[in-house]
Order: sequence, then structure tokens, then C-alpha cells
Amino acid sequence: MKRVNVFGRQSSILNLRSRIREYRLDTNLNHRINLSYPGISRREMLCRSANGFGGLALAAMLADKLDASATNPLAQRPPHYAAKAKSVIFLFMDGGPSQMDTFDPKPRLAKEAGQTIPFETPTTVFNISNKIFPSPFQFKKHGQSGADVSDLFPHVATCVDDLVIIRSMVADHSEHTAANYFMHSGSGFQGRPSMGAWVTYGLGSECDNLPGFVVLESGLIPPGGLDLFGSGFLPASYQGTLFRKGKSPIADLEPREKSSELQIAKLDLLRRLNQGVLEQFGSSRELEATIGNYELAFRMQAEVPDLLDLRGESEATRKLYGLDESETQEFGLQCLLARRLIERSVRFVELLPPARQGIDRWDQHGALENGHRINAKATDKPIAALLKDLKGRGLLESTLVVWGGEFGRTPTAQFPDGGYVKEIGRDHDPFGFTMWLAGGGVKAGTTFGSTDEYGYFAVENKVHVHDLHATILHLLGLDHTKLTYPFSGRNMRLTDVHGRVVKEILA
Amino acid sequence: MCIVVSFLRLLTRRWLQFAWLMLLLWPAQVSANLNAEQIEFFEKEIRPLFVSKCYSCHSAQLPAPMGGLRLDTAEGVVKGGDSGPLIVPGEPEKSLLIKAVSYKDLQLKMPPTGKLTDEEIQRLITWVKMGAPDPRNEVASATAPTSRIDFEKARTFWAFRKIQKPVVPVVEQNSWVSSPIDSFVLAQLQSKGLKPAPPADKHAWLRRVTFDLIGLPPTPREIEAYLADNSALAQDRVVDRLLASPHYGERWARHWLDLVRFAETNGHEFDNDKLDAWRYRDYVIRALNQDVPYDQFVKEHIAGDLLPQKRLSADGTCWESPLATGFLWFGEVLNSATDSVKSRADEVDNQIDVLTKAFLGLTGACSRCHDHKFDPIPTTDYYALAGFLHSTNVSEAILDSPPVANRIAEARTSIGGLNLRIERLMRGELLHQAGLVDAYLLAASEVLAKKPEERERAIFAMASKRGLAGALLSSWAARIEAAQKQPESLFYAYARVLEQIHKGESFETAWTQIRLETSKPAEVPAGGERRDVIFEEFESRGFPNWKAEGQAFGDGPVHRLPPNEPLRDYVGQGVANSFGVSNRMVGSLTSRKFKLPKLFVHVLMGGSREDLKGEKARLRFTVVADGHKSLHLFPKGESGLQWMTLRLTKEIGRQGYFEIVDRSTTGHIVVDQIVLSDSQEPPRTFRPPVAGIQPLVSQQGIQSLEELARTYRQFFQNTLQKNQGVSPIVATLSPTGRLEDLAANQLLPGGRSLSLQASHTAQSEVRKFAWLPDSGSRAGTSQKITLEQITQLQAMREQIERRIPESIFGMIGSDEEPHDVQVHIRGNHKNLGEVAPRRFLQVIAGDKQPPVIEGSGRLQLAEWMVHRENPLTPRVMVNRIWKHHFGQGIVRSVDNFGKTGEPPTHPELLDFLAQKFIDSGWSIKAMHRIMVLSSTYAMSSQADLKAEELDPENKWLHRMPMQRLEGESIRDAILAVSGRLDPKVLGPAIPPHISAYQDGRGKPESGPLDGNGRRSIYIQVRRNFLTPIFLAFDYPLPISAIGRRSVSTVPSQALMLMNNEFVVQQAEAWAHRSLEVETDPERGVRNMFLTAFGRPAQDQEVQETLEFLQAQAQRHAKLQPALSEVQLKERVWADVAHVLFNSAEFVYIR
Repeated sequence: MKRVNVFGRQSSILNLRSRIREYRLDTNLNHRINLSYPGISRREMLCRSANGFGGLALAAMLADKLDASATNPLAQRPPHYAAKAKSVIFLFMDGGPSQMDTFDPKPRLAKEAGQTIPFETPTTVFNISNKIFPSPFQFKKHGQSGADVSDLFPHVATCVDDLVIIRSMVADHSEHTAANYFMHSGSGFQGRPSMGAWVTYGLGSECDNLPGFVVLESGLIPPGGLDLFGSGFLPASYQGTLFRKGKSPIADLEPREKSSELQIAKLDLLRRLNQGVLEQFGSSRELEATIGNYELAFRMQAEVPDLLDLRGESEATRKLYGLDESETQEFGLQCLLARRLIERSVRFVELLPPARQGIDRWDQHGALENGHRINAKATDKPIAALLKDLKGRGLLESTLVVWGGEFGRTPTAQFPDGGYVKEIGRDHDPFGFTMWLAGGGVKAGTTFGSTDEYGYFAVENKVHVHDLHATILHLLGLDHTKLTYPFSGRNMRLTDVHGRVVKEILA
Repeated sequence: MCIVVSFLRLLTRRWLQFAWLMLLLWPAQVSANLNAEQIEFFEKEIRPLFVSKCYSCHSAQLPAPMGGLRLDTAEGVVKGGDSGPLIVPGEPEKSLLIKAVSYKDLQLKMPPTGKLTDEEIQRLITWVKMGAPDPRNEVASATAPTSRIDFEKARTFWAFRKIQKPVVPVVEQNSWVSSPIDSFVLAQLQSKGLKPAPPADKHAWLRRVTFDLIGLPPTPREIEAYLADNSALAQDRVVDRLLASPHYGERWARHWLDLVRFAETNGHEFDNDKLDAWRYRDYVIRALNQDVPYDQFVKEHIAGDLLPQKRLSADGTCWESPLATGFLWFGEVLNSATDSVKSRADEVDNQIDVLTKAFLGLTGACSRCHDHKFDPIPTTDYYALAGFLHSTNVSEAILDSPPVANRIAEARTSIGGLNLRIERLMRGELLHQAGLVDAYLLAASEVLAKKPEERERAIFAMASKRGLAGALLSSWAARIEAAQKQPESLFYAYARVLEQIHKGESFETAWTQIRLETSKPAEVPAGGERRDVIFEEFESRGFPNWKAEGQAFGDGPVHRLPPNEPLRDYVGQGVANSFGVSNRMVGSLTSRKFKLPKLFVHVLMGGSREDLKGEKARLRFTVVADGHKSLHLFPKGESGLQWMTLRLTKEIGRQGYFEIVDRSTTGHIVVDQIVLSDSQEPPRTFRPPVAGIQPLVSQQGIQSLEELARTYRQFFQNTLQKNQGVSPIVATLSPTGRLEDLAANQLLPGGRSLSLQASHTAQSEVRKFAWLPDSGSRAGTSQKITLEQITQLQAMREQIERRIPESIFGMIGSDEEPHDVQVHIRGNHKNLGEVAPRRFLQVIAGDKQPPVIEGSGRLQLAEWMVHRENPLTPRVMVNRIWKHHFGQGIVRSVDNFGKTGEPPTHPELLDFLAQKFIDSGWSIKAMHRIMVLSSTYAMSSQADLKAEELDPENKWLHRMPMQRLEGESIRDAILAVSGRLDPKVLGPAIPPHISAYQDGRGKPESGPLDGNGRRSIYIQVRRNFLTPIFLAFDYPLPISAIGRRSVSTVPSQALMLMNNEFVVQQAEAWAHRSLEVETDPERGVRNMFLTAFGRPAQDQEVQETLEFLQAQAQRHAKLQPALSEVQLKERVWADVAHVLFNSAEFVYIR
């Protein structure tokens, strides 16, 4: 049989096939079994399929494994230099939590409550007052590091010695959609690759059965839509996969056949026909890759239910994440899933805050006190649990956890207006806000940068969003100036032409 | 004129040179005169500060210091940066340096890493006060103020060179050559020691060329016909057939839509609709099907609205050419930009990006902040192009062709004439009715005194007793009751008095109270203390502040209503009224642009009610802020006008305008006043109805209800006497608000209505009257004749109305405030430099271009796009066509012909084709013919081991590439194969199917799962909700021109074909259809293979499939024993169909 050497090496696919079988069995031996179909084990299924439909496809996959050939875009790639972190969990606080109500106390606001702020303020989204609005929350110092945390976050407060709190974040956009795009992709416009896509593009994925970039939705998609997690001009392989709540988190993951047997039989016919085509018309890299795709897709069908099966989690763990309380249950589950995804070597996991009745994300233009309390209650305990759990399992060292919104909020009040705003709130402030990082090579237990005495503008050690991106990439072993992709006649970067690695916050 | 201009320019330049010279000289003089103290201060206090805090960004340490500012030389300090001079010696408060370091300026805060200490700032202030002594005498390397691009040298780069007429190479083995293309390809192959692959089999060729040209698989019948044709012209016939197919335009339009980032919504937060975007899509399909010469096509894109010779649609009903300009606005639109100027600059940037890439293959947008790093496009060229676009805006225009517009105008005139005649005929009746006003008012007051359930009977009795029409009395009663709550109603005074009397007040007390209330001057008039801005009152002649589209609004505000317009209780002066002469009329008014100054806008308006909301509403008043149609008001279908209010929370301070739109053929909108206000409350002016009744209520001596009723009667009688025509006030006599209905109800026995086209509310009222007995007292002979005449005229009018042609709306470009723009230094719109006069790229058109003297200048730009001096346009296009046929372009970077792109693999071939393209009259179809009828195109895609080693990328085309179908073609092919494909061409977009996995703001209602079987190009492109099956297969995001889609292989593709609802649904449909036509299993399998893959099945394939059918049937039966035989059959055949959809062969073209 005449064979075309599609992988650039002198070995025939038939030879590979037997080796693959060994490889498959070996890698699957220790996996816990989960059932996506009643009455058939995952392993059994994979074994059957290895003998059946998957054989030829696996050749392509194994070939990729062996020489990391360019045919698999998700093949692992070495970082530019030794990495501190292997993966990222981005706790995206959609809507923009207020800095002076969370981690950046401003006592001056209380003293000058109701007075006019003594400097010119930039245009905000709403036409708001410039009257000072003090924080309704109490601050205390916590941990050995003595970090300031408001009473919104009693649980995260117990983790401050693991955090780097950046109080001098600066972003470019005052309005949600553009600011969301900016925080995610370094550009205020739609259609650029998201951070998670860049990271997956840069490092590939260590996980064969799940996507490299996963977004856990909990009921709210931030303004800007799914493009926030898109791959932009990068190949589609790097786009974020949205996991919805519930049993069937990914579109088209669940087979429509009434039993696995039916599907496997169909896939077996498919394999025979595909093989016939290769024999009849010759092979090609494209055809092989397409056929190989079915193997990964089939494995994903099995892996995702396994991921979601929490039967193996202890009672203590469930309690830790707050799965037993109605307010924390939702985000607790997301945080627990995040840990499970990290355990499975998923590269980049993003979490979105849960939808809550009567409030609009962290976007409290009105009724700030109530809204922030509700949001904090929903997320505080689960986030602390995630940090502790990761630490306990030795995963925090290699996982970078990032917390923050697309911007902060103004120290000035947005008063009730008889329309949208019923009680006092705050407008958007991208000029100086707070984010924190934990794990993965950051200098834990520090607070970095500062805003002015009112908390409006960052003044000291400003960290621009581009700098944050550069730093995240750096911790993953990627040089932000070298992680490029040619598009539109130039080499595009996550950090555009900007960005500085904030060395001061590295361990 | 020209002389003056150049003289001025010369003068300016001279002056600049002088100033430049002065600046260079100045520091030398200063430093010469420094004393020791000054030098010491600088060296001790200032220089170290500069070194430690500023040099890292503002010195020769960087190849290009930030902001163009250098602080490491005295000259640099004096010269300042892009933002202008740094220091005004002696005046710290005027010095940019001090402003920057003290963090007082919002934009400029230096150093950006953190504010200097107060002491450090004080040092700098002292230094500036001293006159900024700077003893440094290092000489700054002079940086040329203008671009350093050497255009002469740049023009020698292959892409900018003139198109050469290459000689077709002479090659051996010329039996293979069937087109000049083959000679070029073969010559290259032979020079590399390669030979062309053998020809593909006939099945493969037919499937390839069919998908290639029409995007659908060949049908078994087409395959049969081609196989049977053994003539030398068999391939020509196929190609002719395909190029003549209307599906050709659909297929190639999709390629084009990738280039113009076609999208039908704005994206951003709410993903609002871009109205009429689909008209552009249809324009492209038609243009391609008609093989409109490409140079014309390009010119229409740039200036289709301005071309002296615009194209009309094939049926002659609408303009084609202007539709093309819509491509400029398919970009993302921000829904609440905080900076209008920046958001416009960003929009223009996206337009330049698309325009330069799509037509010229250049990355022009790179020059926004600095001269292009690689290509000869200086920043001034970017802003020269930006000038054209800043002088152009999008408009929602009516594209009626002159004959259609004429027909509408004629209808308008004819109906206007008929209306006058009807009014005249009704005059006698009106006078009669005016004389009965008091009788009806008094009767109504008695009716209203009764309990609601008794009123109907009372009306009967009273009408017959007093010789009144029951229908009219009923309506009078209803109106008087309603008027109690309508201060703007003419009958408010009467109704309120009646209300008080019924509560037990005496007439005298009630009347005094009401008089007091209604005679007060306007409580809070517009303007005045509230500092309202009356934006428009529609009292002037014409619409001087508005751009009118269509003919609904006529030439200006309306002062009298046509007798058939249903709008009761409207009495006033001028209004903008889209009724025209009929609800069928459509049109729009667009205001001038201005900065929205107040938080509220109050609009006094009325009109018909319709269900559609948002920008899709057909009747609306809209606030457009920064290009985003952000807020709307809709008429409520109630009688009269009412104030409606919008809160401009996010819009205030932004660049905006108003639209009054009527796109409904069954309704209309009326706007009387637009007031901008700080107050949430609308201005409480007494409206004209009350103003009209003012003299009446101020009369002394009205002692009783009867007298008040009489006064009303006199008022109507006087008004009628005074007006030659029919005053709108008189329309209030009609029960429906349509003047004509009065005549009809009164004159016809039984109160039958003539109001065939009354509005919803009016119709229901009329129906209510219909059963009421008429007094019959006025049905005399003369009235009968009058009525017959009116009826006749109405019938004539209705006939004309029905023939009013439908107007076509389109999203097109139009000139607006033409002007040149200034260079935005470093792309910053707040930092403006020299003016960049509008002109074409200098590398092509040189620097001696005639200035733009008329309008936006797009017409000149369009001419340059296709000028014979411009080699890019034809090269870029033939390369794009080539790319789609052969998988890769001759220039592989199809959107980038610049230095960072890839050079052509076959430069002579590229030029040969470009020249051929021009010679053929820019015929795209001619290019297809040359390419697909070549032997190169007919090669097999089967790889040869040795050739692969020599040419692994297949750069020299030793074989045809294997090509994966695009997502749209996969979906189309599934539909075609399953038999569900609807071959209908063109038309409004089909809303996309939205699955549970698509989420976010602006989530639309889901369309049908199978898109009604329409081809993928007709599925609406909703920016934030792109169709998953397309996305999975590398559908390009609509952000920029994409001439080459990526081809990725991801598991979601397999999951999609394995498990997606649509795919399974179509597999079932296909199985069902197959079973209908073929019951024999083997023949059935063979048919399916032929349909899916365009080739006969191999015996082994048939064997395996038949075995599967049997085994799978058993599995199904075991699982569901209850399945009937027919059901079982459908299941297993659907399984086969599903497997074939999943086959690699299905999605690849060999």
C-alpha cells in the first residue's frame, strides 16, 4: 500500500497503530472511571474505541505527541524562560468593585463627606455629582502583613498573607464594554484575542481531554459578550470554552444517540469510510487531523461528566467552599470546579460572578452598600476556600490567582435620580483601582502602589492593565514582547506596544 | 483661487521655517549668558532630577523618545514634544512641564510611574521662574519635522511598480497547457524540477468547480450530464452554467463580505441592529451575478452616492450604486462612548483599515500614530484619507429611482387634489354639524349624568327624540368624558364644568373655577426660567434644520390635516407629519448634529401605534448619540398629541442628532415640538386647543351650561366661516378624527362608515356606531348626490393610494461638512498637528494632486482607486480570486502587499492576470473562466511523495490543494443534500438560531433551527451572536478585512457534526427523503454516496454500509422494541446519513 509520509518521518501509520494502543491503555489505566452512559465504563469505552474507530485518528494524535508537530495547535510549547506559574485562575469581578470599599481605605472621605472633591474630575459614564461619598464599610488590618480589608471580605481577609494587593491599577476606558475588552485583550475593541487565548497559544495545553481555556459562567455574561473570551485573530483552537451551569456545560457535548453503543457503531462505520477514503484518494495532513479530531471530541464527551462528578469530594471540602449555604453555593461550586480544572492541567480558568436578584453585577451606580454586600457574600467564602484548598494541595505555587474588575468606582457619589438610581452609589473609575494576585510566584503578603487621598487616581507605582498582562505572562514564563502573532501587517501582542513587568511584586 | 491657496501655503511654510530657525538659535543665546549661580542650580537641582525621573523615556536612550520629547539636551527642552513647547520661561503656570509634574492635567501626568515629591516640583517651578537656564551644549540630533519616506525608492518595490505586460513563457510539454496560466505555472514547476500532478478524475473536478463557483455540491443529475458530455467543451459548458447560476453571486458575495467585515448589528453592549445592512449584501450578490465591472464596483463602494452615472436596479425601481457605500459602517459601534471625538476617530480608523486592506492590500491603519514602519504611508497620508471619511456620514436614505419617486410625487399631487374636492363637498355638511354642536354637547351632558350601564339606551332614546345621530351622540359623550383628563383638549373646559356640576356644584362656581384654571398663562412655558432649549417647533417654511428623505413629510411642516388622516383633537400650527396624503407614504427627517446639552428631551408627538420597538420600530423618534441609535419614542396611537420624555443619562454631552422616522406603510408619526430641558417634567404650556378656546372662556356673562354649549357652537361656526378651506380644528367634529367619517356617518342610512382605512382605534369606534339607528332626517336627495360624489372620489383616491410604489431604504454614505483634518499626533485626537489635505496615497498618486474642491472628495478618491497609475487595485483583486480557486494567493498574504507581506510566488503570472483583468473590462467572471478552465486547476490533489519533499508548501502548485469547506458551505451542503435547501435568492435576513449556550446582553429571539432552509449568507450576522457552526469552522470575526480565513481543526467541529441538533435534524430529513425515492437498500446507499460526495460509492463502502444498516437496526430494536418497521428504517437510515455528514470527505474538496 502506497503511503504518503504526512508527518515528515519515515514510519508507517500501521506501525504506529499498535504503539498507540499501548499508549492509550497505559494513560487511561489509572483514571477514575466515570460513566457518561449507563452501563458502560469510560475505560471500556476507550478500549473499544481504540480498537474501533479511533485507531487511525490516534496515529495523528500520537505523532503529535511524539514530535509536537505543528499539526496540533494545542501541543505543549516550552515557555521563554523558567515559569513560576503553570496556570491561571482569573476571578473576574464583572461590573467593577469599588476600591475604597474593599482594599483601599480612604479615611479622608469620611471627614469630608458630602463636600465637593477638590479637583477636576474626568467625564464619567453618568452625569454624576462631585460630592464625596465615604465608604459605608469598616476596615481592619489583617494577617502578618497587616493588609487593610473591609468587612465585606471576612474570609479573604484570612488569606491576605498570600496576596499581593495592587492599589494602583489603571485602565483606559470608563465604560463597561470597552473596559471589559481592554481587561481581557489589551484592546478596547471587539475581536482581539483574550488573555486566556494568548496564554494557551503561548504554552499549549497539558490537558488532552479538555480545552486549554475554560470560562465558568454562572448566569451572567459581561457586557461585550462571548468575544471577551474569543481567540480574535488567533486560530479558533485557543478560544475560551464557556461552561454553563448544570449537567451539560458545553454545547453539542452530549451525544444524541440513545446509547453509547449506537454512537460507537456509527463512529466505527465512520472510521471505515474515512479509512477507505484515505486509501482510495491518498492521505493528507488535513484529512488526518480532521479524523483525529473525533478522538478528542469523543474523549471530551467522557471527561466533562467526570469533571462535574463531585462524589469524590469530602464533606469538609464542600463545607469549605460553602456548598451547604444558599448564598455561597453557586460561586462555591464554580470555585471548586476551578480547582478541579487546575488539577486536570487546564491552562486558564476564568470565573464570572453569579447573577443576583435585584442587582447588576458589581456595577453599583446606586445602592452601593447593599449591592456590594450581596456580591461579597456570594464570593468571599468560596474565594478564600479556593485559595486555601489550592494551597493545601500544593497547587497554589503553580497557579496564579487574579482578582479584580474592569475598573473601580468613584469616591464621589452618584445620587438617586428618580430613574435608574434609587440610593447612593458610585460611577466608574478606571484611573486608580484595586486588584489582587495570589500564588504562582508573586510576593505574597504585600500591598503595592497607592491612589491619592480620595482614591480617585493612582499616584504611586501605577500598574496599567498592560503592565498587569505583561506580569501575568512573565509569571507563566512568557516574555510579553515575544509572544506575538502576525496580523494586519504586524506582530500583534497582548500588550500592544506597551507593558512593563512589575518586578516589584514578584517573589 | 489656486494661486491664492498656494501663496498662502507658501507663506505658512516660510513662517514655519522662520520660527524653526528662531527656536534653534534661542538656546545658544541663552546659554551664552548664564551666570555661575544659574549653572549651579541647573546642575545640582535639575539635571539629576531629569536623569533619574525622566531620561528613561525622554532621552537618546530610546531610539524614539516618548511623545517626541527629549530632556537630555537643551534644544530638546526648548523644542518640547509632540504636545508643544515644554516651558514658557519665567511663567511656571503657563508651562506644560509644571502642569504635567503637578498632576493637574487629566491627560498629562508625568512621570507616569508616580508623582514627584512636592519639593521636587518646587525645584522645577523655581527653575522655570529663573527662565529655565540650561547650560548643556550637547547638540541635539536634528529630527526632521516631516516624513522621511523616500517615495522614489519605495516605488521600486514590486507591489508599487506599474503592471508589466509579461510575455507568456514558452514551455515544453505544452500538450498540458490549455491556458496561458498553465504556461506560467509549468515554467516555474519545470525550473524547480517538478511536474504537474495528473488530472483529477471527472467527479472530483465537477465537485471542486461546483463548490468553488456556487458553494453547493453538484446534484446527481448534473453529475450524470457532465459524465455524458464527452465533447471538448464539456468543462466550458459546466463553467458557463455555474457562472450563470444565481447561486454564483451568493457564493462569491460571502468572500467579499469577509473583506468588508460585514455585520448586521453594532456589537458592543446591546448589539443593536444596523438597519438595512442586508440591502448591501443583496447589492453584492446582484453585482456579482451581473458581473458589474470591478472598477465600477470599487467606485460605487467609495462614492456610489456621488457618481454622476449611478446604476439603477435591474427592475428600475431603486438606485444600486449608493448601496455600496454602506460598507463603511459595518464596524462596531459603541453604545456609550465617553469621548465623542475619539469614538469618531476610532470609527474612521476602522474604515481606513478596511478600505486600504480590501481594495489596496495595504495596512493603512498602521499610520495612525506614526509613519508606517514598513510601507511608504506617512501619517499625513493616513489623515488625508481620514479627511474623506470625516467628511462623510451614514444616512438612512430612500433609494427610489426617479420614475418611482415621480410616481409617488404624482400620486401625492393627485390625492391632494382629490382631498381638496372632498373637503369642498363636505363644506355644507360641516356647517350643518357646527350648528348642531350645542345640541350634541347638551345631549352628551345628559347621557353622562346617567350610570354607565344605562347610557346606551339613553343615547337611543335621546337621539331619536331630538333628531340627532345616535352614532355621533355616542362619540360626543365618550369624548367629553375623556376630555375631563385632557387639559389640551378643546372640550376640556366644558367637560370639567360638567364634571363639577355632576358632583353637585352650581354652574357658576364650576365655571369660575375652570375659567381661572384655563385662563392662567402657561404655568411653566418652554424656555424661560427652566432655561429650556426649544430645539424645534416646526413653524418655519420647509425643514431648514432637517434632512428630509422620502416624500411622507412633504416639503415642510403641515398646517392643515388631510380629511382622511385619523388624528382627533389635534389643533395647532405647524407639525412635522408623515401622513403626507396617505399612511402608505414613508420617509424620515434627520436633524443637524449638535452636542446634546441637556439631560431631558421632551417631544410633543402623536401618531399610529405599532408593535416593533427599538431601532427596528417603523415609527419612531430617535436620539442618535455618537452614531448609536440609543433612545426612542414611539407614537401611542392615541388621539391628539402628547408630551413624551427621554432621559439622556448617557447621551448628554455627546455628539448627537434626532431622527423622525416613518417606515410604515400602515401608519404615520406627527411631531409638533422638541424641547431640551434640565427638568424631567415636560413644559406645561397650554397647547393650541386651549389657546384656541381662550377667547371663548374669557367671555363674560356665560350663565349656564346651555350658554357655554352655544358658545362652543359659535366658536365652530366662526372658525368655519373664517377658513376658506377646512381648518384642522373642524376635524374635532368627527367622531373618528377623520373629517370624512363625519360626512359618512351622518349621511349614510344606518351610520355605515366609509372609513375604509381608519386607524385601529378609529375603526373600532366606527364599528361600535354601525348598529345604531340613524335619524335619517338628513338623507335628502342633494345630500345623497354629495355623498355619492365623495364616495367616488374616495374610491379614486384609494386606487391611487394602492398604486403608490414601495420605497426602498438603505444604509448609505452621504457628504457632511466636508473638511480636511489635522494630523493627530501619536494618534491622539487631543494633540493636533498640521492639516493633512485630502488626497490619495502619495506613493501612488505623487504629491502634486489637485486639491479637493467639492464635497467630501470621495469621487476623486474613487477615481484614484481604479486609476491606471494604481497597480494595486487590479493586482489585489485578481490575487483574491486566485486565492479562492487555488487555496493560496500568488501573494499569500492576500490583504498585505506591503513589505511585511509575502512576495508573489509567480510575479509575472500576477501581472499577466492583472492586465488581463483590466483588458477584459474588469470582468470578474472572465477571471473565473481563465482560472478554472486551466489545466492547473484540473490537477489532482493527490500528493506525490517526491514532489512533497521538493515543495512541501505546494508553493509552485505541483498539485491542487485539498480544501476544507467553510462553515457556511458545510451548512449549505447539508441542506442541499438533505433536500431542505430553499433556492430563493436575496431578501431580508433570517434571524439566527440561538442555542442555550449563547448568552449575553442583547440576546435576540431565536430564529428557526434550519434557518428556513435558506442559504447561510442569508442568516443574519449578529456581531455578538455569531452562528456557532460558522464559528467552529473559522468564520472570521467582523472586525477587519479578512481575505484569508484561518483553517483550524478543533474538537468542537467534531462535536458539532456529531451532536448538534441541526445536523441530526437534517440527517433525519435526508433519510426520510431517500426512503421516499428509493426502497432498495443498495441503490439507496449508492444514491446517498453520490449525493454527498459527488462520486459513485465503492463496492466495499456499499458492503460496509449495508452491514451497518442491519446491525444497527438490531441495536435500535433491542433498545426500543416498540419501534415500528417504518420507524426503525428511518432511524437507521438517519444514522447512515449522519455518518456521511461526519465523513472527512464531506467537508473536504479534493
